[in-house]
Amino acid sequence: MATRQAIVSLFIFLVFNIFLLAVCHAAKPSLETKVSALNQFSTNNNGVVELDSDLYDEFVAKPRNYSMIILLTAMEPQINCLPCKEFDPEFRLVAKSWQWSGNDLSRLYFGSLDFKKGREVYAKLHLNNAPTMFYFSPTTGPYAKEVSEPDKYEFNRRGFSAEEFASYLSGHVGIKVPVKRPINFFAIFTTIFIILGTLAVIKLIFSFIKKVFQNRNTWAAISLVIILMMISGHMWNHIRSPPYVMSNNGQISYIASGFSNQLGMESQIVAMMYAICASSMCYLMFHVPKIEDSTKQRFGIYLWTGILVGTFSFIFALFRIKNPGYPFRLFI
Amino acid sequence: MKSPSLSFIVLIVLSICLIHNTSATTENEIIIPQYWINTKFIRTIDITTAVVRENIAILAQNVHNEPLREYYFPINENFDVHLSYITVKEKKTSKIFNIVKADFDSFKRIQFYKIIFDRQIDPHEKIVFIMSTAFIHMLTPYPVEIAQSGRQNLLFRGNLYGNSAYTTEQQKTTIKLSTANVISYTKIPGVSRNGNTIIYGFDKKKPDDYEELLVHYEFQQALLTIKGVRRDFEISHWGNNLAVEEHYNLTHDGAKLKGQFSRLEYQQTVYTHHETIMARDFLLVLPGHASEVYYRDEIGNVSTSRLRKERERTILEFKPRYPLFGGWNYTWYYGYNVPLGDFLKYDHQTGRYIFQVSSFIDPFHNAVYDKAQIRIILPEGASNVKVELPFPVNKETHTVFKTYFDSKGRYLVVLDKYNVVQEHSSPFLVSYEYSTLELLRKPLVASTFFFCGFLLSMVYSRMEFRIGK
Amino acid sequence: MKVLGLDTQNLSALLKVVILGLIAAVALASRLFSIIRFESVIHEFDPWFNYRTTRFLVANGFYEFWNWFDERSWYPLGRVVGGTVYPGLMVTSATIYNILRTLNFTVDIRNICVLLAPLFSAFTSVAAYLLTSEIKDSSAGLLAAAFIGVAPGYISRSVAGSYDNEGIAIFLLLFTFYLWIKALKEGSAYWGALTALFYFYMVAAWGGYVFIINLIPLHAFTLILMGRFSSRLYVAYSSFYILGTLMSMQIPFVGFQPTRTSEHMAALGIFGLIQIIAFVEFARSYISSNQAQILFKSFVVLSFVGMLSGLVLLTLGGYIAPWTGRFYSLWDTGYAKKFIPIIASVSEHQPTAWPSFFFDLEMLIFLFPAGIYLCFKELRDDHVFLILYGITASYFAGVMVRLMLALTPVVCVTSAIAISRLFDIYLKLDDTDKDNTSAKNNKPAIEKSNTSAKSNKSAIEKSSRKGDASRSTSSSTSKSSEKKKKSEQFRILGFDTRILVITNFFFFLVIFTWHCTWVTSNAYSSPSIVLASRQADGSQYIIDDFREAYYWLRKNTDYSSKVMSWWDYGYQIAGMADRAVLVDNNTWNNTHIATVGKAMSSSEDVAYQIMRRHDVDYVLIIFGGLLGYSGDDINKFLWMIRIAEGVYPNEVREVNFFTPRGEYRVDDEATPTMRNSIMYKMSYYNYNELFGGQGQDRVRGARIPADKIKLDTLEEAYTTENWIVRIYKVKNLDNIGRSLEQAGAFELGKKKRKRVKRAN
Repeated sequence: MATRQAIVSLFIFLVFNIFLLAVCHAAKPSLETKVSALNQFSTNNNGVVELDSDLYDEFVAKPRNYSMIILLTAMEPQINCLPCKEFDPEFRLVAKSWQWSGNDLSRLYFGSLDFKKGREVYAKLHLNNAPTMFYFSPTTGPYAKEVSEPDKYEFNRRGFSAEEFASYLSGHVGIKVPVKRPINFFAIFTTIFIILGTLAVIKLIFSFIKKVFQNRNTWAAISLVIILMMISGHMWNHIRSPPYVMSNNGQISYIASGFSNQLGMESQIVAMMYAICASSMCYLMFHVPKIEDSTKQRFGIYLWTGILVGTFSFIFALFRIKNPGYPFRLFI
Repeated sequence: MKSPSLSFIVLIVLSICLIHNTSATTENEIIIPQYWINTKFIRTIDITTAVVRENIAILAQNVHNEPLREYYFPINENFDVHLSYITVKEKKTSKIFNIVKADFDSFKRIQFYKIIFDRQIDPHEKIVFIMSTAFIHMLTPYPVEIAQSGRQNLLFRGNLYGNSAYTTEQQKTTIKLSTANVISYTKIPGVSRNGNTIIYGFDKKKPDDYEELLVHYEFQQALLTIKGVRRDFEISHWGNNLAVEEHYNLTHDGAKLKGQFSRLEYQQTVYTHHETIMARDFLLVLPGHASEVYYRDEIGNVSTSRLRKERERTILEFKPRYPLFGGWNYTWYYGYNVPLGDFLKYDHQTGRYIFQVSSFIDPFHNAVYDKAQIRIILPEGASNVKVELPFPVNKETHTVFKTYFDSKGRYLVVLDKYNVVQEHSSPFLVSYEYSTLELLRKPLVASTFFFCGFLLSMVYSRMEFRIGK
Repeated sequence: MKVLGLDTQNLSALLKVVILGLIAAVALASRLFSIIRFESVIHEFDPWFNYRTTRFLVANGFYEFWNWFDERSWYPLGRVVGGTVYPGLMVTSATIYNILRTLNFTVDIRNICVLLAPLFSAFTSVAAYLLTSEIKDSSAGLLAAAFIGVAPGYISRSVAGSYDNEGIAIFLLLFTFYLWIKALKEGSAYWGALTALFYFYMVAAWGGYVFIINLIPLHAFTLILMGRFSSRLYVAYSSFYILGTLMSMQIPFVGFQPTRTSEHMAALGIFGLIQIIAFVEFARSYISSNQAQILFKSFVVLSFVGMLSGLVLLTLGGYIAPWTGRFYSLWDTGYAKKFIPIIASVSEHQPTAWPSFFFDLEMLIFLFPAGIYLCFKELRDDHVFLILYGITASYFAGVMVRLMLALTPVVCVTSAIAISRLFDIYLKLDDTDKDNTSAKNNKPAIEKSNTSAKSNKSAIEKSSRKGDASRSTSSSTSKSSEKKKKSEQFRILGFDTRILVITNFFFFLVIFTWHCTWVTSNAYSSPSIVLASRQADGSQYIIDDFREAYYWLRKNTDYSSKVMSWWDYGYQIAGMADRAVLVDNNTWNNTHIATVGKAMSSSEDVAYQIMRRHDVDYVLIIFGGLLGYSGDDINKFLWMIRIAEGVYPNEVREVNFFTPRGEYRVDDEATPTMRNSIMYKMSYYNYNELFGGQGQDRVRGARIPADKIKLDTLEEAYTTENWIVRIYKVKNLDNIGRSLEQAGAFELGKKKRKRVKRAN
């Protein structure tokens, strides 16, 4: 009884093994075929191998005597993956420059797998965000590395620029991966043209320009604008690039919460407030005293003082929003 | 011609050196003439605190054929360095006898002390006197390391037979302990122990008989040693104010902390802290009128401490930044101001000011002091200063100290003493003369200073620095 | 008329002195909150280094200090303190100390250091007075002094105990500018030399001297462009530049930079330019043919271009060092974040949002533009200076929070000018009084007109021959003089309106003082080494864990032991614990810091290797989890990782510390790398046991994983009362050559067996 079972199981086991072997053989093409296929693909499609799920599995499968960088992207319009669209040209640029770099092409291949052709891969890798890029280092051959895990490219840290990408590749492959941006003649021409045009215009109205240039009010205006921008935290916006306004569930908020935090709109409002206060000061100093008629003058003074106080108290109110612990207020 | 003479000189020099050395290294063994016999020799060794106090009542008889007034008493060198004080008084009249350091037996390493009675003792006459001594650093923790909330055992080593320069006929030794649980003690016939006292008795002992006495017992208190204390008393007649400042350098000499300190365990065993040997806070009693009290260490206020005012006294609940375990150190200083009237009197007959320092050291959690320094800063212009001390100090210096608004400096008295214990916490007096005219010195100095300043500015403003017109 | 036997002249002089004295007293007093609340102690981090060096200087004298090699910091590298420090601060306080000692004032050096900044802010208000009264008049000067005395933007860096370079540097900055203006007006080498002297002091005191050495040339250049070149400018600038540069090169830390680095090239270039122009002016006075004029003009332009290109070439050739990172990051604001994370990681290098401008300057912030406008109205040389200062400083303040400090003085000066101008107009009562005041105002006005007339004369001469620019200036000056005349005729007719405006602004000023006091007492007066909290009964409870730990280290560890901690605490450990540290706040060696970061962020065995290699005896970390102290090391951990990754990109990977969802977690979801890092282990060691179960982190608001944290290579040496500071001892190698892990396991096994024995 027992023996019989044993025999049966043994038999099954053998069969199964044979079957397995057969399958493996069927599924695994030789390295040469893979490389040639890759070469062909890449040369046809200047440097980039367009993959689908099967090809992906085939080329990723060990052994590899080449290293491969594979971009998992989603270019379909309905998915609307902006970073994918942003990165795609850069990726192709690097691939192209690699192709023309004269290096041994079989060292590195660029693969690109689109979502619509590679859902299975996405599913298999549990990927839920694109673009994602993996670097597969060679497992056999002179450049083999023992690292079996593919290395993931960190978009959030390295960004989307071709240069950064190329340096990353150079680091991994060991050869300098170049980036040759095609020269955009059109842009150059346009810039030259514009410069010439402006020069011509300046020449035409030179006397006027000169008047403006030597008029102190222009300079006053310029420097005051600069100062107002600076003291209303424009540099903060420039560096941190916050949203212009915040719209959460319907209503739009112009004021960001938090003391060291602000919105684009907010800083402009503040600049405006400062400008109003400053100008009312100036009116009180220069304009009003020159008025000869006493009633007009009185009216002017009351008006500007009112504006000044009102704006200032508004600034106070604004500041209390930013800093709730602030004890002082002015009228409002 | 020249070289031999030179070599000769060298030779002489060398030989001189040689002689000198030998003379330096000759050991002088001292033979005490056996003029006395101790008919009774009763010791009580008190090791209930960190200080070892040994009281010896001696009934001595003159066996010489002529009257004597000197009695020698030996103390081993390794004990002598820890000797904190020694006094002798007669039993009946409790009259203090004079005791002086006699010469040193560098062969047996024994220091002799000479007791000088107030009268001649005739042959065959007897005298009963009590000698009380105190030693510090005689108790060593064993085992050396214990856990954070472990129990501490101490080891006391001594001479089983009281050391004496003369033969003893009958002897009794009583050892007082703080606890009843003694791990071990030297067991010999005729020893008896009940509770926390151990009693030995012998008769017929020759002068240099020695046998080690060993007592190993539990001692669940911190062994605090003050490596050094400096107490400043600054007298100001201007502010009618006495400024006191005390600098402490404290070490916990108990069994060391095994391993490292665990805050977790510390917080979990908070209710048993009083049972451990860890020292966490001390109560320092300040005078009632103490004001502007501050307590700092090298990096600022000791914010863990606090001050409590009572009617008669001010209490500083001093708590170091961290609890003190065995082997840990802490240094700090505190100070305060008190009205001068509480401590300074004016004697109208002699026309002298008398300043009383309430005590040489503050009794501090029965800690022992390796070194204590008292600095008394008398006001500027104080003259012919006298210091009257109840006991001798190792060093007394009179010098000058300069501080705010001083022109010629203040009179500074510095007193240094080593191996200080509670018995030294007794008051003493400093008296000096001081003329009221001296009060005017400071304002004069200050005003002249400012006057010069204004004068300079006046001159400057009237000068002309322009070149040409 | 006479008041207390003094005529108006003397009375006003007396009043000025008294008021200025009072202002100085207020400026000093309003910085003492921290002493009154807490104690007289050194604050924060850098001051502790300055304090330590000052102590060294006082103890060992100047020469010892000058070539002091401090082997107790940056172990094992050490640091050449004498050559890498701006000695001005220490020398100043040491000098004060010695002077007082010679006068028998036995003041503790600590108190001098603590009170130095308030003292110098009193001086600053005087300097502001001088500068402003040089530009407008003494009433404006007094206002400016009052403003700078209490403006929070300046108080933030100069409260008692913040013993830092800025404390004295701002005074030097203002005073140097005052002397420069003076020199420019007088056109005298005497004032120029004085300027150079104080510039030297500034160089010795603060790295911000670069601002001066770029602003003054900018001023000179602008004046040249405006066609206002004059012999006064030539004398003032040449004397200042030559003497100043020579003296500044005496500071070892500066050395040959003035000839080698881009920061100083502007000054050098302007110096050359000004020489050429002077020569041309001289030659022009002899030759007067038009072609020659054109020739000269082109010569000037060409030489300027030539110098510029030469500078560029030298820079490219590497003979001149390009801008150093710290300064370069001011221009290219993204630079630091990418390449110098150490600079970017410091909170005071962040850009400034508008609320902090308002917080630090309240109403001055909108008086500032008004004042600048005023400067444009009558555009004299010193006004040009103010405008340039205002623009540049406001830009810098926008880029970096800490540079608010540089902006505050000019804001105070300009707004003082604006307000005093307003009061001039609205306080003129009747004509007699008007004459009186205007008499006072006129005197400077007249001088001005003289000086401007002088400049006019030359300008007119020029314009007669050539010079459109100069014509414009002459016209401008004449215009300004007309305006001055008009301003004499300004009249406010209604009395009520005067009252209205005056009361209104008086009210504003009152609010301003309230604001300043409030800000000072609430925001800028806590010495960050002790934390204050309120108890249930409202009494103040002081959390003093830092000093507890430091003093424990100081008293109970071997003097030669090395302490590893994140660089923020290096200076404090050196100062308070007096132990050798690996890295400190003088972040001169990125690699060393990165090594410490790597040790902190890597697993025990890797870290152990690093620590052994650097002979580390103790590791000190800050942990706020129990108390909710948010400035602790777990929150700074990301920066450690980033800095470490910058140097060891293969060993340390930032991504491994983020959960797949890209979050930074410490609870059950924390990544294995995070949990294995010794920083994590040290922070939460024994923490669960305290709660008997899962520990609650009050900063991150997270529950710590329940599994017990095991440390093999480190053992807890000391933890402070509130667990804020935790000190660990690095174990020695095992006696019988096992790895410490095995040893630990063995011990554990033994314990277990014991327990079993006890059980049965």
